[in-house]
Amino acid sequence: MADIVLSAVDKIFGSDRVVSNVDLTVENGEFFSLLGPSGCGKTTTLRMIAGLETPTSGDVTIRGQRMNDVPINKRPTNLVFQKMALFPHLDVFENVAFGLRLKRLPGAEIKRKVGDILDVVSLTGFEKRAVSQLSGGQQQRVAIARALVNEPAVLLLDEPLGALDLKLQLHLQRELRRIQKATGTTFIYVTHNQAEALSMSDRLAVMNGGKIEQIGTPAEMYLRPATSFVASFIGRTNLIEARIDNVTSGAAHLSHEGLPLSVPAEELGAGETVMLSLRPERIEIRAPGAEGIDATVTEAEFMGSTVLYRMKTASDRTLIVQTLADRAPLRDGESARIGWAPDAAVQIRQTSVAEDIE
Amino acid sequence: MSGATATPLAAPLAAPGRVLPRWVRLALLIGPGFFLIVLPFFGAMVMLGTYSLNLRDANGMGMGLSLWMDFASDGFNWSVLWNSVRIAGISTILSVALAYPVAAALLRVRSRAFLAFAYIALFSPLLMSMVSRAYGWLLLLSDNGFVNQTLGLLFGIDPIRLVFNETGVIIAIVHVVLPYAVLPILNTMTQVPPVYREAALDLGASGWTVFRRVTLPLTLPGVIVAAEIIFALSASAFVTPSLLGGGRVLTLSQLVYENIGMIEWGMAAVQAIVLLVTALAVLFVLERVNRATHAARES
Ligand SMILES: Nc1ncnc2c1ncn2[C@@H]1O[C@H](COP(=O)(O)OP(=O)(O)O)[C@@H](O)[C@H]1O
Ligand SMILES: [Mg+2]
Repeated sequence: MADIVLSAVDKIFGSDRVVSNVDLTVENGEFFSLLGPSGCGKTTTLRMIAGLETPTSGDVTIRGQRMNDVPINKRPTNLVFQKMALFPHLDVFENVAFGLRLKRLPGAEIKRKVGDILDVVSLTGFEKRAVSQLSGGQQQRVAIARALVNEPAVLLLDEPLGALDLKLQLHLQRELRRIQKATGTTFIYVTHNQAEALSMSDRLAVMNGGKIEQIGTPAEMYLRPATSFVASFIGRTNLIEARIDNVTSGAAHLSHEGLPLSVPAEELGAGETVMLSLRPERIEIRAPGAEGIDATVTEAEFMGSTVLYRMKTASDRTLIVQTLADRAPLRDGESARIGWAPDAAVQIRQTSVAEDIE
Repeated sequence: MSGATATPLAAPLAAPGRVLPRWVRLALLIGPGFFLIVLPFFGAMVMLGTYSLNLRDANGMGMGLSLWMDFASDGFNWSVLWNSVRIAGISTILSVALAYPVAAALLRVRSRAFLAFAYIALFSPLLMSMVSRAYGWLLLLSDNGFVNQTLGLLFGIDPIRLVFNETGVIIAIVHVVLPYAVLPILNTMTQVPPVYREAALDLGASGWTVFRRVTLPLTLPGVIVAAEIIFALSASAFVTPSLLGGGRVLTLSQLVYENIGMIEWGMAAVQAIVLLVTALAVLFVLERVNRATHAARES
């Protein structure tokens, strides 16, 4: 059963269309991420689901019920804010118990539920602490507990790990995944960190400029990106524009740097120009004289298990190549034979290109 | 390291001769305010103390606590002190209760023009001289003044006594102290990020519950500062209770004035000290409440 359905949702602030025609379905119990660069409308989308913003047009449906006119305090969602927003005048216990007290549950039950959820987020024994006395990671877990204890149909998280250092981020990513599995709650997780979204999500949506570019599993998004933006935002890629030479039995054949490539051709004809994404790890460094082309290393980045090269071809084009670091890396200025299998690239639609943030 | 080889960054530290010593700089900053506020205050306290203990033996009663005994044994003094405390207390509660929604509204105003208008309206009481303001209230509130005439026209009722009693005094005090109540509350409100309100709503709270359980506790420090200022101002008010009370509402500050007029410096000093200590005691209690709410936040 679908927990959340957004259909044709728009949000306009003044004259800015911040969220544009968003369609989205999140299934029950799913860990779903909204991934995109800063300012692409992720928070606004999440706030419309929570009820902190009203869509300019379109519908938000939660568990089959249209939510547009349901106020925030009547929605079966809870939000973990980007800035945590723990109540500074209440201790950890009272922060977590806030929603339960509003439901007028008996004291003993509140105590039990708060105790249980603090156990889930590994904060047993911190009940009487002031929130100002907690570390960033602990505060984040209190914020998650404060939302989760209300057993929301959907937990909404807005870049909850953004402010933490890398090690803590990785630890809490695993914790969050464990909590999500243990409680079976549907999570909608907003992040601008593609590695985080890939490793945690069952499915994710990539947003760009208020629009959704693609929705799919992490593997689908990486292996079969639909647009140039998705291909360049998730991982790295070589974007290639080429003309189709000929089409045979459902495959379009073309070449790049003189090396053949082919993609499935449902609606393609010879002479058309297409855009392809060729992942750096699909380009091989081959033995001298093997089939392929020669290219010169302009930059080598040793990354531990792999090496990332920027290489220049004879026609002065740059390719990014990633290989296992199973031998001494090539140095700047060295040249090598490179090549790829004909099915190494996927066809994509041209949208914008994500800036290389690394 | 010698001064000549010092890097530009280290230069200010390496050339202490060019700047005045730290304590001199501090003294220059604090000095003028200190001489204007602290010295006269302590000077006055010493003078009041010597007069109240009759150290000059101006009336031949002998030095000592006799004036204090006189004050304490006269029930009239206590009832006037109670008047002062009651009027100040009621004015404080009313001012803060009126100021809080005003501050909350000002926080939400977007239009700059309207905000400017609101501030002028808010501070208008302070632009008038105390005496003309009090007479203005007398005209408004008297038996055949504007308020009673309007009420009479609308409801056909007899005039309500609004002057020469406590009601009039309190109305006029609240009028003038209101801006002092709005400012600290508004200041605290601007420091509470809206995200707390959103978080409480998200957890299921109604608007009223958000106010009671989040907004009010977080803005309480501003409310307490406002109450402290208002209580101090209204407990020592003199012109307003004299004119609007018409001699029928006696406060301790009026007794002090009368005694000075009758050259009873000693008794005036005792009463002034009692008034000051009472105000300080109330401030102390309020400050304790303030600390307690802060402590709850940090412990
Ligand atoms: N209340 C608002 N009024 C006007 N513009 C807003 C408002 N909230 C967000 N925006 C704008 O909408 C865009 C998307 O914001 P947001 O949803 O916060 O992006 P993200 O969370 O992806 O970084 C930004 O350009 C932002 O400036
Ligand atoms: Mg955001």
